[in-house]
Amino acid sequence: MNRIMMKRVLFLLLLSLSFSVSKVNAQVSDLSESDIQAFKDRVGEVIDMFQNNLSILGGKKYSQRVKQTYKKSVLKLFIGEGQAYTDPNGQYREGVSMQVSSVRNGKEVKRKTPLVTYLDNLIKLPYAEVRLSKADTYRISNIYKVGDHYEATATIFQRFEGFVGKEMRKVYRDVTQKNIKVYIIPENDYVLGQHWSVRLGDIEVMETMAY
Amino acid sequence: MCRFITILSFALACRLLVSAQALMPVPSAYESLLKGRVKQIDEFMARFNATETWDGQKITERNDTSYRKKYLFTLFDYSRFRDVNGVFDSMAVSFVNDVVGHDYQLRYEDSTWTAEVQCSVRVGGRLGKLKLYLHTLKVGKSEYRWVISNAYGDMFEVAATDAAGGVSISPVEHEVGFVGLLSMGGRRRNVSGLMDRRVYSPDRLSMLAVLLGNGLLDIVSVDCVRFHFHSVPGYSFTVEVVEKRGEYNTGWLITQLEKF
Repeated sequence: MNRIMMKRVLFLLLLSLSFSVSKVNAQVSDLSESDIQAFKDRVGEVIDMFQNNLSILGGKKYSQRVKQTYKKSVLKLFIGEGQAYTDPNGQYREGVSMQVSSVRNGKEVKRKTPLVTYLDNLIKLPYAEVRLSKADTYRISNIYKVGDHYEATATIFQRFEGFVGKEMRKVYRDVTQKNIKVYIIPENDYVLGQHWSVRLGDIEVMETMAY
Repeated sequence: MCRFITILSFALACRLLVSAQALMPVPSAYESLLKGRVKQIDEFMARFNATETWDGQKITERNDTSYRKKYLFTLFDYSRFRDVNGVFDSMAVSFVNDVVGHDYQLRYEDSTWTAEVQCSVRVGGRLGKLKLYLHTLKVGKSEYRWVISNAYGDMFEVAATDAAGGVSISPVEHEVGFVGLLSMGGRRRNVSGLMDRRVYSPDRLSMLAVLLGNGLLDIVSVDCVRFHFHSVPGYSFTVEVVEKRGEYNTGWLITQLEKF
């Protein structure tokens, strides 16, 4: 009788283990496929907001007041809101930074810029007109477990065109690939209670030759 | 009244169309190029493993080996591995056949891939270059980090035991309270002569840890990132970003392949 009971317990144990393994498909996090998709959808929404707000910062038909409002909205999407912060791993950071690569006279040049400076420069661009178009194509990487939160990368594309003069002559255009670090952090507030919050982090900006 | 509402609606629609121009999507042929581009290393691995198509769709049935072979070839930099007639390098062909024949796959959590990161740095006010090698390390259940396994750079050439012209401590220093040590700092020099050769063994990782831990090394820019894979038995290959105008064969691609 004991042997039969043991076999039943073992069978049930194996069955429950196989069920739990089949739920967890990703090897770099403890999330199920449906959780991963839900997080990726939420990251996609935040990335969309970021791109839409960037378009307004670059556009010349908006007043400085409108642009400053949208600049604050962009910063709220980022960890630390553009200022110095302690990241979820407990490390002190000067602020979200961007490494911008560009090609000048056939040579690649890289420069590090704080996010706030990048946004200010976008607002003050010396063109008569700026057209920023976002691509539908984007990609979100695997989601990685890091302590009590998760991290991922979102890759997006933007086409930039700058025009000068009354005749609106196009003098500059580029297509950049932006690789953005994403934090998915547990938060607790009065309104939503316990929830997962998406915040954007450091950005690598690469000028592509997609034209 | 109806005419007025129609005109007003039309005017509003035009206004919305003008304001939406900043958010208009780019043309579809261009979108296609962006989809085809290998945008992330995760994407490179997914295409290598035939779990994702060129346009990001999940592949659930992986039985089609000819399909997998076709996609594996697209992960090579054509300019290095394909001749003008479209014929692939024979080593690339045998590599693809081996990968598909044995269903080799790449996984983030494997210890068989290494990142090579070249940086511009500032140490002691001087600009220099630093090359780091990193690999992934499991730190918990389903949890990984990148860790540095090696480092190279001119800044480490201050303690080479076989270098000439370094400093040393005079045999009479004990009578002057080792005052000679006061002039040891302040500039870059070979310091191996200060160390007991019987126990001193220069270790670049420890030197890097001291520099980073004390805020003495400033990484100014990350100049180049490559990944070296030893995941397919008998082969090693390198993946890096390749930019090409108006081509699908761009992004993270295999640029070197060796058989051993």
